[in-house]
Amino acid sequence: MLLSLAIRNLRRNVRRTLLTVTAIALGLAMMVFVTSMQKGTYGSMIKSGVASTTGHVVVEQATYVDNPQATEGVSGAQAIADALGAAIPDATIAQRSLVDGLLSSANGAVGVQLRGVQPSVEPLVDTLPDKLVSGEWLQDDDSRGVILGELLAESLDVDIGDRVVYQGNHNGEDYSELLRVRGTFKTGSADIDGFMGVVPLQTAQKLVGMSDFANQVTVHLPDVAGTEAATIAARTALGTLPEGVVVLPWQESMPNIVASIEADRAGGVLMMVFLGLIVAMGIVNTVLMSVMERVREFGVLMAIGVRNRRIAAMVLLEAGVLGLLAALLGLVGGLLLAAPFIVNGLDMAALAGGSMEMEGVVLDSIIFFSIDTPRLIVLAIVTVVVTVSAALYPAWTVIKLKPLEALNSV
Amino acid sequence: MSIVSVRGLTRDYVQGSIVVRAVRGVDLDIKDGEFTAIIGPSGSGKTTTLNCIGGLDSPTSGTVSVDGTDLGSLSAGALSDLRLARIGFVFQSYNLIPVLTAYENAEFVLRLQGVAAKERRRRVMQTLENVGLKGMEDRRPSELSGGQQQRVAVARAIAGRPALVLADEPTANLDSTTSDSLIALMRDLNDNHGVTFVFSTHDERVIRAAKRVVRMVDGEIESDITK
Ligand SMILES: Nc1ncnc2c1ncn2[C@@H]1O[C@H](COP(=O)(O)OP(=O)(O)O)[C@@H](O)[C@H]1O
Ligand SMILES: [Mg+2]
Repeated sequence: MLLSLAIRNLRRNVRRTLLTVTAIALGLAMMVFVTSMQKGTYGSMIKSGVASTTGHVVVEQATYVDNPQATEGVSGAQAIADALGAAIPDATIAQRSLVDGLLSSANGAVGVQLRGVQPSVEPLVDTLPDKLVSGEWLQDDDSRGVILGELLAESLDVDIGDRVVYQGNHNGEDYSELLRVRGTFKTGSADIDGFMGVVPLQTAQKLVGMSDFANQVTVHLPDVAGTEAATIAARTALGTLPEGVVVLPWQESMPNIVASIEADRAGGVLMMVFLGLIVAMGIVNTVLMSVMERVREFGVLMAIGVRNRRIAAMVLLEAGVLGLLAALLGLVGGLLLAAPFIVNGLDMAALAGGSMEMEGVVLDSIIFFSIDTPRLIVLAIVTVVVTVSAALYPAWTVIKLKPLEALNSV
Repeated sequence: MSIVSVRGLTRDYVQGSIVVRAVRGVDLDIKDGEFTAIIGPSGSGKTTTLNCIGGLDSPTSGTVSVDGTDLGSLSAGALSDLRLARIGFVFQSYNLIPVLTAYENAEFVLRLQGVAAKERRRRVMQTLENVGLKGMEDRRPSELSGGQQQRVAVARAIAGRPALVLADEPTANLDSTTSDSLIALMRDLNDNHGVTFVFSTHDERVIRAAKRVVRMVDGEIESDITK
């Protein structure tokens, strides 16, 4: 009975009801849109980070996360990679190293980082091989080949086929190696394009004076959801590992990315709270107004024997119905707004006027929005709760009404 | 035993530094089956007396008992329940819940009382027929004339089978023909269905229909005549 009365009361002033519902729904739709963009961005960050650095699961030295050293890594990397490949059949296993040093040409010298990768494996797991702007990707047996970032090649003033010399000092020993430029790539990140090169893994091993060695053996899964299972499978398959070597899921091997996602999410929550407060203030006003207008009517209800609490409950119920309508409308509206970007993606690079980089990882320039279902459920519930809470004060004024005062009010 | 027993009812209203004594020591008993008019000039305390009997207002001193229960001893919630079970109200105007139809307005009290659906329907239809509104069940108050609205108010007041119906100037906003027929209706309900009415009025034609006339002047009962 209270519910049907509440619904009829809302229909009494359709314009006000629609306005209120629309205002709340708009706030929610905005949140749904932003949340979908965030989820898409986070997914992209994780995907790019996983692809270009640690994989979904990584075997590396425990100290490597905080302090990556070219000589810290896994010996017998090939056997470990084979064991992982057997244990997790649908994964691609890569071996990677990162070596710093000086690259010099006839025209200058630049401090660089060289990525050591397996030329035939890397295209399966990362997008960097797709980003060549000149020349060709490395061959497995091409131990002299190097691919340079486009800006790095410009700084060194070298072209395809030109020679560059690597010099570095590891564990107190000097190493130097002659390399030939096979191609250049462009990610859009000045840091990466200006100071990064790629060499075959065995070359990277030579540059630090080791063999069958990689900083990381990385496991790339078809789906991020398989991370936990793959971590367990990897630990089981590898058994006891050499001193200091650990198996880590991406959440632990990329703490920076996880932390920046957490920070961003926290910022999102803050924005949600802020928006919720603004919306709540609007609702308090509207509900209070609709209560004031009906004091006399409430007096009649009280006279015929309706307890104040039930009238207050009706006011809360009205707010609840408003909130529910707004939640539905906001969810649908927000998802409709986000839909084009879920399907076609949003070109962030075009928006930002350059490529997006986070924690040394270049993001895909097109971000595909993604539906964060648990968060949408929370948002919808919060909307209803905020709306009903905003009606608490008006409802309280109803509880305190005296029948005669109510009847005599105009 | 009386349905209503008023003893030494006094009600003061304080407005700033001025104290208005609206009712001064009224004693009054209402018995089952009465059809009583409280009359008197404007400001003589009729409304205040009715409100105190109905538990909408509380005495400054004196007591009001309904069915032997002293209203002063009841909490707001218990008073509410007593009104729901024992008292029907008809006000001068703007009585009805605007979003409910005539049928639903009359049914409202029965729902609150928890009467079963089938019984509810039977009683509401019967009551609306008794007040002459057959066929108008689905109209909203805004689609009814003033007289018809007061009939719905009467229907709502009696549908819950209260011990007593309090009506404060029920005809004040009606033209003379309509007010004649409303008071005739109330009298008919009293004669043929045993509904007890106490109403206030200063309309001579309405006074003529009363079985008992209580005349108030300056907050006191000046005369109490049973015809
Ligand atoms: N809420 C109130 N505040 C102050 N004075 C009131 C109030 N209600 C009634 N009065 C005063 O009490 C007196 C009796 O009023 P009332 O009972 O309404 O008389 P009646 O219904 O016979 O016209 C009047 O003088 C009126 O002004
Ligand atoms: Mg009066």
